[in-house]
Amino acid sequence: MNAAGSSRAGAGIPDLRGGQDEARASVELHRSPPAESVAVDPPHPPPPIPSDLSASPAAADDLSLHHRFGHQWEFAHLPVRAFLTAFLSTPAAIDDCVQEVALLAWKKGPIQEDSDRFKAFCLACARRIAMAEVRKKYRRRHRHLEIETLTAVAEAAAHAASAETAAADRLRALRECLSRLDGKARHLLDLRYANSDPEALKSEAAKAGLSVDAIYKKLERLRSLLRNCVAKKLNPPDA
Amino acid sequence: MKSDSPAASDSSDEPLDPNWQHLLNRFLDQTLDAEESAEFARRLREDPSALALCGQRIHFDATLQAALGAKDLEWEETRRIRFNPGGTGPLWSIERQQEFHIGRRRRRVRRQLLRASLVALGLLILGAAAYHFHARHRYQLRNGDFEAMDLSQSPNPESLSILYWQESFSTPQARVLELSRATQGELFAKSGRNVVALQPRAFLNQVLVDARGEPLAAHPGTRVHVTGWYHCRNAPQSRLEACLRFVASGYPLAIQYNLAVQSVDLKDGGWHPIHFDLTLPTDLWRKPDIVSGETPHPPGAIDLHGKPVTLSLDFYSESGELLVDDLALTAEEP
Repeated sequence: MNAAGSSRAGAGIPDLRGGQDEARASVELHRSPPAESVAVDPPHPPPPIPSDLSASPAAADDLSLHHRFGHQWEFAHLPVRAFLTAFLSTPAAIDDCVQEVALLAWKKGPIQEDSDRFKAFCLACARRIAMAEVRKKYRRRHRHLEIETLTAVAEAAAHAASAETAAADRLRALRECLSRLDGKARHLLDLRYANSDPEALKSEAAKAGLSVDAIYKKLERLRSLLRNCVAKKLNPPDA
Repeated sequence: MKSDSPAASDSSDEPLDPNWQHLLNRFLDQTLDAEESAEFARRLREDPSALALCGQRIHFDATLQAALGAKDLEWEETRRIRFNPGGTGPLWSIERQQEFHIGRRRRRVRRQLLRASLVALGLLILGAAAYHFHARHRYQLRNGDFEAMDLSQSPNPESLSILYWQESFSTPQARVLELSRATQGELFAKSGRNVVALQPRAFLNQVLVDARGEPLAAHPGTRVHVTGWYHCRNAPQSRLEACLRFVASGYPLAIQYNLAVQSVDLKDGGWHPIHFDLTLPTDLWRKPDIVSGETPHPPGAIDLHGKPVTLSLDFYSESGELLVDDLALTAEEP
């Protein structure tokens, strides 16, 4: 193979310079663990790289796989999150484990199969990860409850999430209800659900001159308010 | 809009035992104490609907997390395509790396990059400062082993160019030799391949600088220690003189001021060590010691304090040749 630059074009060797999208490759790519090396030894001269990604059947398959995964995950992520919420103590810990499940699902999950199988795979991963996390005491949510109790609760949560037939609608309704809350209420919910600091609520109580119990009571009322709001949006009363 | 199945809905119309309501919320907020935990577990065991309701509340809680946390799930793929005509492996190879993460990676990466950059900058500044203070006043000879020129590339085993050793003055009586080739295997350099060969009255000279390239400035009491090896060939009654000088000008009117001089008698035959210890005097007001060339205005005495110091090695002999190798230097400033 003559590697001289001027002979490249003559030998049909593609020009990879000029900021071309590195995704343009005629080699079929398979879903694989990170840093997989796909060795290709083409005949001489090598085939040209297509200028349009959609012109390559292999590349198009790759995209559809990604779309398929996104679709599958859309239905699986809430049951996974619900399952892990029963076990884990902080939003950050839950997010870490959800991410781990997503990675496993991408690498090894039955993406091309029906959504129930994919969801079952994700929940199985979540179970293994949750059991590992529970052994780490600082990550464990409830020190006074038995593992069996937590498992039963987690399975019930995953079942409730799996049985959800309008997850996207519920999420949308919830966001609309959240947007109608006043700033203080929204701030309290952010502290509880979006803040990684476990002491955030205690600090807020001290700042507001309230007891921690009073803060948790406020949260209880807010949840009830939001549940009512979502229920009304999803099942509007008859006129 | 589809209506949810009863099992999946958490109808707010359903009245709840206030105590159970309280326990559920305490569970969601991870604030159950031991007594409450026991009551909670008992309820779940005895009432299946309690377990279902608990599941629904957790489901709602997870939905609330998703709505409030709004963490993106990002999938990032990089592909590296290699074309390797010269290697032994495949001609083409494509590597693909994929990564999933939750959260705004760009902001995280920017923060991480910024942090890493600041750390790297700090280390760089520390390293530069350390180098600055360490390199300062650390004087050494350049090309002391005369290996800077690779004579193996030349059909000729010698050269009149002696890198760094002809800074103020040069002479054709000094040359660098690839010794084993020049002597056809009779002699070998003390280290490496090259030596300098000096004919009678030939010399080497080099401005003394530290690791940063700053010249050694003349100060009273500055000590310079020179070491190396010499081999005298057919040069009986010869001597080598080391001199620390200030070179005010070169040819055609060479003006030089001696700061310190030391001379050693040389032994003929075989390699012998060189040791010179030169100390600058207290009084640095000096007249020029060497003025070669005609001038209507002979230079007078000057204060040599702070002037750059040059090391000069001069070979005095009636015949023969002096080989020199592995010169090294240390300097101690007062």
